[in-house]
This record gives sequence, C-alpha cells and structure tokens, in this order.
Amino acid sequence: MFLLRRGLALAGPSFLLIAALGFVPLGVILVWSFWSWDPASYWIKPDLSLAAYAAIGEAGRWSVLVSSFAKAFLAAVLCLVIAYPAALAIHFVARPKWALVLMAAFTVPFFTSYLIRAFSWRLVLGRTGLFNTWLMALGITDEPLDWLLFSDFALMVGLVASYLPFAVFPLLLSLRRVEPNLLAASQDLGAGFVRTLFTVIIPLTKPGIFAGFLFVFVMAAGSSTEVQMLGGAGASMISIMIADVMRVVNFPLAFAISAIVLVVLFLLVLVGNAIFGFTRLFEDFK
Amino acid sequence: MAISISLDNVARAFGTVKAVDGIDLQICAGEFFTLLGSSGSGKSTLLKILGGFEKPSSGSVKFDGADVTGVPANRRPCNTVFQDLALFPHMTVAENVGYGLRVRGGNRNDRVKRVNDALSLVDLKGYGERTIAALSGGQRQRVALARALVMEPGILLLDEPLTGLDERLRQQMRDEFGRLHRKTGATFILVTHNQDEALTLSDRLAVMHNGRFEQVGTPDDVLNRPANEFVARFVGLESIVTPEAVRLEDKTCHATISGKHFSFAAPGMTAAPRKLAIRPDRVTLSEDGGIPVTVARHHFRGRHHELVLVTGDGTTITAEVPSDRSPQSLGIGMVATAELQDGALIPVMT
Amino acid sequence: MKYQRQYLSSNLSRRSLLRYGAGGVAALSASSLFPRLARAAGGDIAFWGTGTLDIGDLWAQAATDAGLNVTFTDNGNDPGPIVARLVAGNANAIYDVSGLQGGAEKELAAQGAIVPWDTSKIANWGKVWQWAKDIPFLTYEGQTVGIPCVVNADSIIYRKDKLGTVDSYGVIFDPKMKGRVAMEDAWINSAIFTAMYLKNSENAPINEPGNLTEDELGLVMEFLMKHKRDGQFRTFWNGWEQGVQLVADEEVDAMTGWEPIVLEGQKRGLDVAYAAPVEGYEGWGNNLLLHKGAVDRGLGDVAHEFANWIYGGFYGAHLSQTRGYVVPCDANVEYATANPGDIDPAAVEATVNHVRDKFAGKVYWQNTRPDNFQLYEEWWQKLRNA
Repeated sequence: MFLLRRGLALAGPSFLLIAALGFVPLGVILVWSFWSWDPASYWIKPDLSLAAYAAIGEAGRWSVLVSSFAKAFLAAVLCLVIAYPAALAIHFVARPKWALVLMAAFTVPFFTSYLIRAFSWRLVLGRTGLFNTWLMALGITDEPLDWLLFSDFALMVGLVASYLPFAVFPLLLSLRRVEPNLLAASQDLGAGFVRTLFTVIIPLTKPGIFAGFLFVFVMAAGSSTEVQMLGGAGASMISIMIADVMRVVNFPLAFAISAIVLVVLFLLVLVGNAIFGFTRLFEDFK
Repeated sequence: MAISISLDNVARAFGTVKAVDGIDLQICAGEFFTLLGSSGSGKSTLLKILGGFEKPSSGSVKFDGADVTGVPANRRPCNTVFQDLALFPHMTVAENVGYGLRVRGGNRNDRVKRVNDALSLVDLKGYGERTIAALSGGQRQRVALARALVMEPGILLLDEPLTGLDERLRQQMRDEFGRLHRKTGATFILVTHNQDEALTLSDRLAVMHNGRFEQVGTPDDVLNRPANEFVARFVGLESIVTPEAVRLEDKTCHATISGKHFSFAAPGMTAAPRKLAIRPDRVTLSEDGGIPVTVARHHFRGRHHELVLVTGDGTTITAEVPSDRSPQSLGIGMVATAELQDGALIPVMT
Repeated sequence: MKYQRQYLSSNLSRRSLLRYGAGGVAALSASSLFPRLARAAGGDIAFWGTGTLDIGDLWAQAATDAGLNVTFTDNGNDPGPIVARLVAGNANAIYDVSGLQGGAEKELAAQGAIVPWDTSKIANWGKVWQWAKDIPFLTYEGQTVGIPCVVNADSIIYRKDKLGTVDSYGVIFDPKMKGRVAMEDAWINSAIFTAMYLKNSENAPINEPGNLTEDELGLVMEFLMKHKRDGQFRTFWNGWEQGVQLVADEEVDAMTGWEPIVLEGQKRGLDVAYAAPVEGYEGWGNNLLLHKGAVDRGLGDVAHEFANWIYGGFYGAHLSQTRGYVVPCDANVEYATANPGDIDPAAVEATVNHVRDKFAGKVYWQNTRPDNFQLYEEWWQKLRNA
C-alpha cells in the first residue's frame, strides 16, 4: 500500500505533464469548436454554436473526412500486409547481423526528408518515369500509363512507402514477445509454419498488429505532402482541408474538423484496445 | 503404438562445441528411459534431436527401424512436454489440448470426446473452458501432459517437466508420470538433472556428461555398480576411497581401508574395482572398532545429520546419522570410529 | 524566387495540421498579451514579408545608405493567418512593416492593424510608376494604406514544340488537351485565371475577375468542376519544385503558373514558352504596409525612410536579378547604370522592361482577399471533391 502510494506520487508529475500537453489542447479544441467567429476582434467568441459542425456537412467536407479515413485505413492495412512478412523475416530468418542490416534497410530511407521521398515517387511513376519507361521498353504498353501518377494508386504507394517502418517496428517488438517454445510446441503438435503463423504467431502479435495499424493510420490520416504531390487534381485530405480553412481564418470550422478527427482516433484507440489489447505490448516480459 | 528408438553415432556440434558427441543408443518400445545429466551435458540437445527440433550434425535417428533423421518435428510420431510447458496463452485449456487434433483434422465430435478423455486422464475434467492464466502450476503441468498425450504419441518426450514445481507437487507428478506410462504404454523419454526422478521412474537411464554417455543401465546398475567416479558422485555417492588392497575371490570382494578389512558379495564382477564408494546412510559411528576418524564438518539435514569424517590419511567419508541419535555427541573435532554396515561399499569400476 | 513563398506556405502550414489548430492559435492569442518592449529608437526596422522579398546579406546596404538596420522575417505568405496575426495576434507588436501579396489591405486598414503612409515623406515616391501607384488595393477611404514593393504578371507556361504559339487560357480548357494541363492548387490564382478566360473569351457576365460576386464565383467554379470531372487536369500543383517537375518531365504540355518555371524548363533543354494571352495577365503586387504598432513605437519616420530606400534602386536592381521581379520605379536601371561594377545594367534593364511590357497590356490584379473569400474556400472544397 505504501509502495503503491509512493509510486503514484512519483508518477504524478508526469501524468500531469501528459495531461497538460495532451488533453488540455484537445479540450480547448473541443470547446472552441462550438464558439463562433467574431469579425470585430478577428478571433472567436464564446458561444454555443453548431454552425461549424453544420458546415462540415456542406461542400463535401464530410466526404473528405470519410475518404481520408478510408485511405488511411487502406494504407495501414497495406503496410501491415507488407510489414508482417518483413518482420517475420527479420525475426526468424535473419541472423542477428542480418537482422540489423534488414532493419537498417527499412529505416535508412527515412532519414531523408519526407518531401524528397514523396517527390521522388513522381520521378518513378510519372509519364517519363522509371516505371513507364520499363513498361514501354518491355512492350507491355505503347503509351505511358497516366494513372500511375496523380491518382489514388500513386497516393497509396507514397503513403505505404512513407509509413512502412511504423508498422514494422511494433510488429518486431511483439514478435519478440512470442516465446520460441510456443512455436516449438505448435510444431510438435503437427503444425507446419503456415499453420503456426495463423494459429499462434498472428494471434499472439495482435497487440503489435494493432499498434502498427494505429501508427500508420494516424500518420496517413494526417498526411498532406503525399496527397499534394502524388494524388489526383486537387486531391484532398483532412490536413489539406484544415489548411484551406485556416487560410480563410474560419477557425471554428477548423476546430470542428479537428474535434471530429480526435473523437474518431480516440474511439479507434478505445475499440482497438478492447479487441486487440495493444497496451499489452507495453507490459513487462513475463 | 509404442515406438522403439535407435541412435547411431549421433553428434551435434555448435561451432566448435560438441553438445552431443557420438551417441549410440537403443531404446525399446514402451520403455521409460531417462537422460540424466547436469546442465550443459547435452541431454536437452539429444532430446531435441529425438523430437526433430534439432538436426544432428552426423549420425542417424531411427524410429521402429525407419530413418527419421531428416523428418521435421511436426511429422514425427512423438510429442513433447516442454520444460516451461509452452501452453498457448491465447487459448483455453480445451483449445490447448485439442490443438494437435485440430491440426490433424478429423471429426469434431470425436475431437471433443478425446479432449475430454485426455483431461479426465490428468484429473482436469471440467477445466476445458478455463484460461491458462487461471490455472495453478500443477494444473498447467497436467494440461501440458494432456496436450501431448491426447495425440497418442508413440514416444513422449519430457523435457525437465518437474523443474520449478514445489516438492509436494513434484512427488505427485512423478507418480503421475509412472501411472500414465503404464496406462498409455508409450515410450517415455525423460530429461532431468534430478537423480531421484531418474532412479525412481526409469526402466533404464543414461548418465550424460560432455555430450557422451558415462553409463547406460537400470537404476540398480547405476546406483549399485556405477561405471566410474563421475556416475558415482552424480547419484550421490560423494565418499570415494582408494583401498590399500583389494582383491576378488569367490565372487566376494575383499578390501582394506585404513588398515581395516572389509568384504562384500560381488556377483558377476570380473575384475577387482580400483575404488570403492561408501553409501553415507550405511555408515555408523562407534567408540572404537571401526575406521578411526575425526568429525570435520557437521550439517543438520532435517531427518538426519550429515557428518564429514576425515580418516588418518586425509580421505573424507560422509555419514548420515539419523536425527534421533545423540546430537550432543556429534561435535566438530570429536574423535570416533566409522563402522561400515552391510551394503555400505559400492565398487566403482574405473 | 516566387516559388519559395508558395512552397513554404503550402507545405509548412498543411503539415502542421493540429498544431495550427490548437497550439499555434493558442500561442498567437497568448503572446499578444505581452507586447514587445519598445526597441531602441533610431534605424531599426523589423520587416515581415513574403520570403521572395528577402535579399539576405544585402540588407546591410540599407545600414550603409540610410542607417537602417533591417531584420527580415518570412511571414509564410498565407494571407489568412498573416491577417489574423496582424489584427488579433502579436505581429503588430513584433514587426514594423509588412510585405504582403496584395488584396488584404482594405481589411487590415478597416481593422486598424495598418495605418496610411505619408508619401510626401518618401523622397523617391516620384520615381514610382503611376500605374503601380494605381493598383486598386492600395487605397482605403482615400488614403494610401499600401505602397507597391515588387510586381510581376503571370500567365501560361506551355510546350511550344507541341502546341505552337499559345495566346489564350483556352488551351487549359481545350478538350484536346485532356489530361495534359495543370493549374495551381490555390483559388487565389486559379479562380482569377478561369474568370479572366470566361469573361474575355466566352463573354461570361463577370465584372471583376479578382473579386467575384457570389454568382460569378459559382459560374467560374462550376466551369472548373466540369473540366475536372472530365479529367481535363493532370493535377493541381503546389510550389516551385512540383511546378518545374511537371514541365520538365513532360507531365503536362500547358499550365498556368510562374514565369521562372519557363526559364527552368529552357535550362533543361525543353522548348517551353510563356504565353501573352489575349485575355491578359494576372498581375500581382507585393505591397509594403505600415503597422500601427510601428507608429505607436515612434518608428513611423524610420519606416518611411525604409520605404524610401526600397525605391532607391539598389534593392530593385538586385531583386530583379535574383528573383526576376521588379520594384515598379525608375531607380533600378538608374542605380545599375551608375554602378556597373555592382550589377550588370543591361541585365537589369532587360528584366525591368520585360515586366513593364507585360503590364502595358490587359492586366487583372491578383486579390488575396476577395470580398467573398470564405465562399471561395467553400467552392474550392467542392472542386476538390468534384
């Protein structure tokens, strides 16, 4: 009891700090999203107005929210599909030295600026880019494929390439927590690797899967560079919409959009934790 | 059902370290065979080779005469109870036990029945829906057993299964293994570092050291005719003396220790042993008449006192004196004589 | 160059998503509670301008010429947040003079964030070209609230080898060009270009392309949306690098945009040209605004000296060569002619004449702050989703 109280006392300040850094701005956004624009002070004034939320229903803003989440979801799933075999390879196949090299291979490209990374895909996927050059050289197409760039396809390529490591590392972390003997036990009971993968490894790495999903989802939902550089004409994303709105100083609308995003993410974390127990990822090794 | 095992010159090296160094072994179908050794002796590696989790660097493994050296674990007719049990934490007791059957496929109702039978066999009837986390250590042990036994393996591999259990549970599970062995009739291979387990359960055992077998035999062989000093010490015979004279005559061994003459029946012995081990529980102290000794150390061991006695030439003899015998007179420095009762002397061949 | 301002603004602001939403605005209102302590009087000027106005180390010349210590800070070039910071935030407390894309002067003056210039205190005012003084945004209630700093005029970059000579924005909307044209991802530029085309070539009832009424805006944006749905646009571009890449890698054959992109394309060996459209150019001016805070701090006269130095020739001559933009006055060429050791007079004259020639024809002024500016954003959102 004493130790518990002592522990709480020690953790107290950091809880307060986290609350101050995290929850206060969230609360402020939530409150301000109900205020209204005051032309006189050029700021917002206390109010209980739903106008900002009503505005989300107009001009297709709602569809931007939905499609942003849908794109982020797809990007997160694609990242997991690619990251999982990669993490398996690093964890099971590679010797320690090679594992390091493989992890570096996943990480080093991310030392470059995200701007340059996204931009370089334009050079690869464009009409005169690497891909189209190959396709035409191989005689697969006569004309450059326009849809390779400035399309949802290009956007997905950019998002997946940008945020892949954020899926790999939680998976590696959770794979390390799977006792090797469990895999031996599964094999002992007759299961081959694929069977073991689906009945033992994947269920036991669910926390890592969800953490990886969440990281990529949040970052992809908040992305703008990839959308602007690779997406179709005027392609939108939540952050682009917020920037557009801020440009015309419609603060309450920006706050309302942010508030909805936060609520969605908050629910996602809650639901995800209930289903996947991803906080277990942070528990001690037994 | 039960499967016989034949190892031919099996070796496994990790780099320059030879964990298993040229083992030849025949195990009969239905035998309870124990690999006894301390950690690093190679016994676990040998078990993994039997289970298919390790490939031998050389040599071959045969089950019922068929070479299985290259057959992976999931296709071998043997199952393992792992040291840390390796129960699947995300499955219920029934799911754990039924895992292998599900992998194997087949009728669902049949599977359910067999899982229930297996749980009954290990006294866990009705525990099927519990989670692993909700079980006690002994119960988990039984789940691990049931999970392996439900597969009706020809060979059951037990990798230090009793390590980490408290003494009472250990005794209980030990009896359980004996019962299950009789009931299933499978070949049981137990790996342990605990001599009591090895001696009480096994039909035969192998004492392993540095990747090799020091001795293979029945518990009686190992206990009463240890092949060498290492084996003798491993089974608890700490007092080993070199007699001044020893000879074999008429199936009786005659030896002189500290000027005293002893003899004991040695049927089947072909040569006189170089050394003799002294069983501590057959040593008694007397005022005179035995080997003159001084008490060097004294440990109270609960049911008995353990006395380290030093003879005139510096040889140490360990004696176990029952607790109810005059503790006051057992002081360090006390001079007495040690008498060797029947069966105290055990020949150590090399 | 011009690219910098757009590039930084679009990427920085959009990246910062929630930071802008909460932290940024919170900081902005909080810091306004702590007005800056008055700076040492004399020749210090804090110049808050679009990145392209910066001349870096060359500001030291202002100290030599006029004892002015100029500290330049990039304002990010996003009109909304800039206006907000000047009116409700701390910008007035920190900076003395703004250099801002034209259009928001009226709003800033009405809010009292900026105060009128006294052009009689600017000795070089007489050298400023009259048409630049006549830029419509510069006066509010009869007073001069903005004075022109640099100007240029934009139109269409196009592949001459493929399209021949282009002289109309019609090329952007030509169905034959489907998928091979682009516009900028900003209503500030793309709405006015479209309005200019519709007004002049399709006789649409549009009065002022830079300040569309609700109906006019609907007309313009519906037109854009229709073409977007038809797949007319390869993409909408953001910033210098993207603009150059679209041309250099032959993603598009024509796009509305900035003249320096043409030069970059030519450098890469492409036969690209800048159109002189019959519908006219989109003129844009970056204007100097005098902060009320500066006058409160007693820096009004210093600010006027600073403006005078801008028109002194050194600044304009150098800016013309580093950015290709022109300070609309005679002093640039005068300075270069007098100081051939510092800068090539012929080059300065060529740039100045080129820009002045563009303004000789029809020009519509870019307006960062049309009356219906929030409606523009709403329509742009619809366009994004079309």
